This record gives sequence, structure tokens and C-alpha cells, in this order.
Amino acid sequence: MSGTPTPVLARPAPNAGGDEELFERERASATPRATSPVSAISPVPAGASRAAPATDATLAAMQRWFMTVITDPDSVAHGLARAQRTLAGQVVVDGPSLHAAGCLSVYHFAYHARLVECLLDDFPCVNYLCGELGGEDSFEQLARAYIHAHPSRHPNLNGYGAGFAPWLRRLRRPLLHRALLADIASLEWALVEVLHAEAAPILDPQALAAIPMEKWGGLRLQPAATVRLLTTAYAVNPLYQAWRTDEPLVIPPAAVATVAVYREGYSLWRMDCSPLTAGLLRDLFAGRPLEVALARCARAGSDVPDLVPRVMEWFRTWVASGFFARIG
Amino acid sequence: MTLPAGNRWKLPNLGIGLGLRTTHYRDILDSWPEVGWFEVISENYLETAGRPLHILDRIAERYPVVLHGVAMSIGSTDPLNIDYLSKLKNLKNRVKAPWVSDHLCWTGVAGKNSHDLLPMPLTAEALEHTVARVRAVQDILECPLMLENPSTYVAFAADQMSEWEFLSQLCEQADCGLLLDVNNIYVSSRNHGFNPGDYLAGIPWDRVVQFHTAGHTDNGTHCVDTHIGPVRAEVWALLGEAWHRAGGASVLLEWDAEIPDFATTWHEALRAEDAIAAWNGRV
Repeated sequence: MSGTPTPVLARPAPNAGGDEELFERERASATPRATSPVSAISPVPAGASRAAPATDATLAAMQRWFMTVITDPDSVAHGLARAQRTLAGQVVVDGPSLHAAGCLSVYHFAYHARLVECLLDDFPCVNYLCGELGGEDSFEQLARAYIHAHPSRHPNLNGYGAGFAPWLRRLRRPLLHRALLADIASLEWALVEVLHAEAAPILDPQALAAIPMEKWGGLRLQPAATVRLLTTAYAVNPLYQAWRTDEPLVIPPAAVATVAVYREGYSLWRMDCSPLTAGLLRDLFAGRPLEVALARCARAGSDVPDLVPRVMEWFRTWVASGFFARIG
Repeated sequence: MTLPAGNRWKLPNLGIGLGLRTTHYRDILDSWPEVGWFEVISENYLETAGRPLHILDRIAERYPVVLHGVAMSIGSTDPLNIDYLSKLKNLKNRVKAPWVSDHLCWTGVAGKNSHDLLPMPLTAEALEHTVARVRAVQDILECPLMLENPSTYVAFAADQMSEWEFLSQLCEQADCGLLLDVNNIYVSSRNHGFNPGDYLAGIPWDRVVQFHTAGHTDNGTHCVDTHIGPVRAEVWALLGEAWHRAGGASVLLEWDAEIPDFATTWHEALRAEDAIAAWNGRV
């Protein structure tokens, strides 16, 4: 259905995806993939002496000092200048071949590199577009600004990118194609969420078929944990698909669009939705009774010929695709 | 065949294993190679209920799987994360892990997480603090915790003891075990200028349940534990000596950057057999 001129009438079949291994990432590891450039670390003659008496600070104070230095957005030197205001005495010492600041820069580099890599893993299309769209900000610059604004506060990195799209949207400084980049980030994050969602049982079509017709009107359907309905200011799914398949990218004009991101088994899929199908799905996911959702759909699609059989077909596709977890 | 294991808990020597990485999933699932065991980074299978966990379940049906974490932050002055530990325990039970390990380090403070293995000040205060936390973790997990010696790049002016003295006292006072990373010993020895032999001489060997080995990057002025490339000869030599001192223990290769195909990675891991056989008995 992607790219069709008459999306209202098109069949809402899976149109893009099927990815399994693409999104498997080892976010946690003992070491980031990148290593610090040697040139960034200045050596010191072996046996350099200590500059000041050792601090008598507590373990907690030394740890806060250390974090201040290695998470400084600018540099170790800047971090040291800030941290030294809070602690008297020397905290770390020169190594045999490196100044103390050089030793700390290994950690300063790793802190930023690991989180930038995590965001790169989650938002590869945003990264690509940052390069292609010719804006002043590289993805790494954006990522570093996000890391500074949103330091990780969780032991697991799987959710670290959750705030990236909203943060992009709220970014105060000028950013070329900001709304589009934020929409792409929302789509990529929906894929991450669906990847990690619980593989719970989905609604059995036969169980649905066994329900007497007279009770259908009052049915409410629970959405599955493995589906997301994403409405954006730009039609980002065709753009994302073009990026995935290495086709020429055409920046779409602003036009509200909805895409369903979902998992069948362990494969990820994306399905463009017309305004009519998006509205119906939104009502169903919100827990509206079937008869209410269908009535609203009928009003919205009053000019659509053969609406009833089309709705039946959409419904069958959604159930077969695992959009619903259960009745009730 | 039962392999020798000298640890006090009689935890098994699983032989030679590999760190499970996504790039090798397909090879493993297609051919079920004769690998002794797999170690997984715990956090990669927490906070997810999708395909990664499904694959881990399949692998755990056929191989021993050990959990190796990077986020326990055992040395932090922040409170222990009980939610994390609860999930870790569930994962341990799910894959029937014979033991659980993490690092002697802290990963963050004041609620902020660096996701890095940050060095401990080697002080009496830090030791007392870490002992109490290891005991608490072991009570929650209901199993001995194995702590790995990290690679470190900086030393604290307040240090009061060597890392091996700290580890030895920690093991004794908290009744925990050791995952001895011989590559980390080598890397830290280069960065701090100590003799790796002194390190090995200070290890309580009946606490060693597992070894790590890996490649590193030598930058001249300092070495970085990058887990890249083949294991260096000096590190293999350390493994040979350490394995015999421990009376045998499980050995694992970590390869995390520019990971080659499965066959090449496994071939590298098997070089541990040569290192163990080559040790000439000198201590």
C-alpha cells in the first residue's frame, strides 16, 4: 500500500519489513566498539611525581568526582576544572606513561562512545538522513547533546533511546528538517519497542468466529503488546523503506500519516494505514466497542464504495497479523 | 569426561566456551557446534521478551549458559538496584546458569549510569562497602557471586592496597568467587606498571571458578581492553599458569569488536588448550 495514490481503498496488507536479525543488538558489553584515538591522550614521562597530597574524601565523594570528570560534555580538562571545586587534594595519580588526565580520558571517551553507539544502533535512518540532508549537525553532535540532556539512569540500555524523538521535537536550536527527523526517530523507536515486546498469545481467529453475531457489537479488543500505531506529521514509512532498500530518497511534503509497526512471530513489519483504517484501528485500540468503532468508521467512509466487505477484509488481516491480544 | 576444577564450591569445569554474540546466532542454531558452554552478557537478555530471549532459550536447552553482567555496579555508593537483581535472578533460573558473574567496579553514582566498568578506589572503606553489598547480592541471588578483575586505566591517590589484595580480602570476607580475566591482568599491569606474576601470587585460587581471555589494543603508552583480535602470547602464557594454579577451571574467550565468523572465533578459543598444555610448571 506504500506509495499508492488511493490509500483509502487499498488493502492494508503488510508492505514492508520481515526483519529478524537486523534489529538484534548487543547494547551491553564490557567495552564500546570504538577505541579512543591515541593522539587525544598525552603521554607523561615514567615516574612523574604526585602533585598534591591524596584526598581524604569518602568513596561516595570520589565517585561523584569521577563521574563529573568523565561525563563532562566538553573535555576531561573542563570536567576536572568543575570537579576540583568540590574536592580537596589529589584524587587520581599519573600512570607510568600517562598523565592522570590522559588516564581519565580513556573513560571520558568510552562513556560518550558507548552511548553514541547505542543511539546509532537504534536510529540508523536518522543518522543517514543527518548526513544526507546537509544540516549543520551531524548525528554524533545530536547524540552527544541528547546524552548530556538525558544521561542514562537505568542499568539497561535497551530503553535509552526512548526519549530521543521527543527530545528532537523539542530541540530549541535550529535544526534542518527537525520535524521529519523526529518522525523518523519515532518510527525507529517503535521498531525497537516492538522488537522487545512480550511474545504473549494473540487473539485466535477461530475463537473470534465462535462468538455469536448478536454479541459482536459489544466486543472490545485489547491490542497486542507487539503492535504500535504511529501517527506522524510526515509519511515516514515510504522514506524509511526507500532507505532500507537503497532507493533514491525523496523528502515528502508535510502530510499526516499513520503506520502500524508490529511483530509476527519474531519478524518485524510495517503497514501503512489510510486515514480510515487508522481511525478504526485507533478506536479499537482505545477499547471502544466494535459497534461504536464501526459506526464512526462508516460515517468517516460514507463515500467509500463497498465499505462493509473492505472493513471485513481489514479486520481479518489485522487479526491474522496479531494486532489483538484478546477480547475484553 | 569430568574436567578438573579446584574451586571450593565444586562448581563444574565446563571446559572451553565462547561469549555468545548475535553475529554467531545463525551458525549456532544451524549446526549446534561442539562448544563446551556459552557465556552471555546478562543485560542483553533483560528488559526484552523478543527474539533474543527466544534464541537464548534454545541455546540454553543444549549448552550450559553462564550469566555475565556489566551493570550490577557492586562498588557504587548508590543503593543496590533490587529490581535489576530480581530480574537477574529470574534469568539465572530460566537458563539454569551454574553461576552468575559481574565485575569489581562501579558503573554510576547519584542515579546516573555510565555503562562503563569504572575503577574502585582500593581503600579499606571501599572494601568494607563492597563486602556488605556482595553479601546482600548473594542473599538475593541465592548463589555465590563471581567477581571479575576489570581492566583499569587510572589509579587513585588514596589507594591503600593492590587490586589483588583487595580481591583476596573481598573473597574472604564476603565469601564470593573470582572470575579471573588474564587479559585484564596483563592490560592493567601495563597501565600501572606492576608485575603480573605478583598478581597471580596474591590470588586465592580456591575461589577461582572461571577464566576470561581476550584480545586487547596496545597503544604504546597504555593498553585498552578492546576484546579485539587474537589473544596475545603474553596473555595465553598467563592463562596457562593461572589454570594450573587454580587446579583447572572453565575458560572463556571474549571477542567483541570486529568479530570474525564463528569458526575463526571458536578456533581462537581452542588455543586455550595449547596454552594450558604448554605451561611448564614454573611459578
